[in-house]
Amino acid sequence: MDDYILSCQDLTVSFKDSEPPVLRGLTLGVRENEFLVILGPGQCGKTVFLNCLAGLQLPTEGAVYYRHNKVVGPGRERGVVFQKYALFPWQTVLGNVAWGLKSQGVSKEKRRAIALKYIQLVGLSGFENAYPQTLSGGMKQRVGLARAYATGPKVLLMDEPFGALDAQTRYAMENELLILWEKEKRTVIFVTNNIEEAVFLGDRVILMSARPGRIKIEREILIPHPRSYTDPTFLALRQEISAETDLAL
Amino acid sequence: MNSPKSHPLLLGALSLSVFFMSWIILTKAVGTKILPDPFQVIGEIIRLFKTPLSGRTLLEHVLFSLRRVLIAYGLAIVSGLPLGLMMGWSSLCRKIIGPIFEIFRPIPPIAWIPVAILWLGVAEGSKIYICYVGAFIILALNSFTGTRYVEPILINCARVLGANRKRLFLGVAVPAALPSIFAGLQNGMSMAWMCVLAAELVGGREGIGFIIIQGMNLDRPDMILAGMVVIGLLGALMAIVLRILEKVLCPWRRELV
Repeated sequence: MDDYILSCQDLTVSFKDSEPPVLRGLTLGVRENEFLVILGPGQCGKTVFLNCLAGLQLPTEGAVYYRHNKVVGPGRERGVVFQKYALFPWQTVLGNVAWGLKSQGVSKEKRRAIALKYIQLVGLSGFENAYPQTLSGGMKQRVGLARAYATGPKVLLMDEPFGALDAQTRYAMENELLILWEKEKRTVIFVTNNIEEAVFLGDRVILMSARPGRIKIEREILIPHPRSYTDPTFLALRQEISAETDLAL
Repeated sequence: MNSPKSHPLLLGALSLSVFFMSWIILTKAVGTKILPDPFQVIGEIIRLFKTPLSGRTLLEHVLFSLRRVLIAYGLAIVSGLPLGLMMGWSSLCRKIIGPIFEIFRPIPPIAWIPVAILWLGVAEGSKIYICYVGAFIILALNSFTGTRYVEPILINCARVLGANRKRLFLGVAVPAALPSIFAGLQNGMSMAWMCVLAAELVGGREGIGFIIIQGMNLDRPDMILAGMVVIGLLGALMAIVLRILEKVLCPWRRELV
């Protein structure tokens, strides 16, 4: 427990007593600056799990800990990138990225400076005053990334952030995420249903099974970055995880 | 060939001229005693501007109606908007006020006319009250649905970004509800106009509704239509003002068009 920045102990979530729990007895620890991927088929409770870590969902049993403190709600040390971007349509790119800083009481000039820095880091310079509706999916999620980074969290929780993007954009965004992560190291917990994405990004992959959601297997991925989809080790690992995955039908 | 899309003005002019042509043809068919033609109506509007009816010119009658509508509309905004926002935001408010609101909501504003006159007399009070009821219900309802159906993911996102309850309301729920609120402002304005007419038709010595009633009593269809046209123009004008206001206050919506 001591080495972990974020951990959970016997985490169980059930919404109805009559149904099997969504998550059952999940115990997991995340090391500082680790890139952890949670992989699982649809409806396996990945999002519920991430919401528990974010403090948006309170567990039925067990608990989530940030270092030694029990998580009882959202906190500034944990940022979230949402699957459907969740940008505020009434705010410009700059307004969206700076939004969380205002809640922290950061002064206006400083908010602007920090927001501009991250807008530049995700490659959106020149779009500061654009409204989200005018941006493509990939650009929207760049804003989502910049917004999560801007508040200075220690842990970034990403809920299938590239799930809604087309294959090419997705691949480009995966690469850019890694570049960003190398520049500004954070602990990342990245949820996906895509095996290749998991093996491409993660230091460690956790495969979840569905109904009830629990950890099936766990693999450290030691292939150095940049990884290639056609590397034999990559393919072998992909094959192995694929064989263990429950069909999402 | 020019595509019709590139000439919205031309297309609008075309549709209006077809409308007026049909009107004129119809007048020829049924006679001016039933349906005066557009020129007679315009002539009547000009006449009413110059010659007082029941001691007042058209402009004064318009100002009477306008004053009633604007007072009622203003009162409806300051009371209906906060009430709707509160009901949308707080489930406690919703549970307390909701049932009462549901009883009053289906009552047509016009049904209030008799009691409004009983309680507030035939003077300004009752007329303003009827307009107020009509606009109030619509404004409250629209701001209610706007805040009630804010996307939960936006609320979650704001919570993760450290927003307290006050900021969740003012920084997320209210802006998310703005488009719905503006729809309410538009419909509430139409409703207030509709109600002022009804109130003036029932008992009034001034206002546009009075002109229409006078036209009926004097057997002057051109006067009736003149009153109707003036209402139409004023209503359209106010809708335009509100639309401009919406563009200024909701700039992100402009880019959708």
